[in-house]
Amino acid sequence: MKKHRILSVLMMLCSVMFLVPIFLLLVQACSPLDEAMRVAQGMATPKLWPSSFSLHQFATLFSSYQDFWERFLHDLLWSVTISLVQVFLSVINGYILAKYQNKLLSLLTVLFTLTMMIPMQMFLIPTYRMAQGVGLLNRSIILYMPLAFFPLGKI
Amino acid sequence: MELGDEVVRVHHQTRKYNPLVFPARDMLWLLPGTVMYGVCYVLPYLSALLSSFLSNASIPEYVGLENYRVLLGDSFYWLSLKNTLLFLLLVIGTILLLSILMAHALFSVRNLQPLVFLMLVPVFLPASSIAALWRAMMGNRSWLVQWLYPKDETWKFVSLFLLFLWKNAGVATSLILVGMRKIDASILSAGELDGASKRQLLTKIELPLLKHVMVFAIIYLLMNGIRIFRESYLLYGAYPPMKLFFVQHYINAYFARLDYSLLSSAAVVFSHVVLGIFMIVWSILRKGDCDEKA
Repeated sequence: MKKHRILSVLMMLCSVMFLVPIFLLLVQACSPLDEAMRVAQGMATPKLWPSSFSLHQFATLFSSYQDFWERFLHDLLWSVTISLVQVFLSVINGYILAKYQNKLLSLLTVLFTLTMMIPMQMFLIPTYRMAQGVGLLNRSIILYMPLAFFPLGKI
Repeated sequence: MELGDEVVRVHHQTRKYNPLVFPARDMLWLLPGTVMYGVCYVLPYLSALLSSFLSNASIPEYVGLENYRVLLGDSFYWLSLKNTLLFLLLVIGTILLLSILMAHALFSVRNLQPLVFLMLVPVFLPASSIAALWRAMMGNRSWLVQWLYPKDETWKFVSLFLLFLWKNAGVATSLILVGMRKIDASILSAGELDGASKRQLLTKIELPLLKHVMVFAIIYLLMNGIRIFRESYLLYGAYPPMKLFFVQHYINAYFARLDYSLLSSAAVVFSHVVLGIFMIVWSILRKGDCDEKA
């Protein structure tokens, strides 16, 4: 049992390590603006506790950046839509791919796998040209549509 | 026989299930995802492949392998290729090793398993705030630097390495933990009864059974590994130190110059090198599969 206790403490320390940067982020959010700015520019060391606790930055965010919620909603909407499409397609395609053994299907699986290894810059200009072709330029759907059909979930 | 098995057996009898016969009816289910995948990924890929054989002019001409000749003669391309592969190898190896260790530790003490959710938190943070944080934590004025006095270029490499580790180790750990939960405990105890040592249990039973999960983890890490460029760009700009000059920086430089043909050929060469390496790893890991099925 002693070994288990040591392991527990070790793993807890380990997972705390994962949280330290997030804690620092929170501290920055609650400290005065000039201090946080100096930290963000690499001029000062992040402190473990704000010198004077203030929620002023949150207030600024909600009062002077009015489109914050609009943008947030926009992001949320798109990510939920993408996830829904992604999950639906992954479930039906993954089921078919797992159920049958077939040369065509294994080729498809390999293709899906390999797609994820290609740097995304390669898709930028062709996608732009295609968007130009079908008149979807400057619309957000052209940015998000490829994400919805990314084949990570299918294999 | 378990009830679940019975249901599956009856289902297969009534539907005349044969995994080798692929009915056209089921093709319909595959269609929407595959067609959209083709439109969003295969067509752009083919178009990029095509333009890597064309000259970069307003009216492109076929120039054959000219772009590739220029590319492979460029020492910066070789440097970036070497750097990228080295970074990927180092980071993926470390994460796999670490995540197997951590998953093992989490698995052996049952109550600890929820801790893996804490490790998943970094994945949900936006890259720009992580970069700002990293600049503050590992920048010139931070106490880590004051304390260690590292060499500049090595330190930048290390901090990017740590960023990737911090961001992705949690996912790898949780994947491997899920894989370990799926292993039938009776197999392990049977092995123990037969007098297998702990090391034998790990290398002969657990790791082979974790193979599929590991392939998936490698895919995930490779996928994010070639995207480390984003964080690197936020931290060090378009021209990083020599050791961190990745293929994506090279591609980005040509993107800024609008030299699309050379960009395409650089991306084609890089993606095929990565694909080749991945195929080798995959075939090594899958080699044992046929024996298991037989």
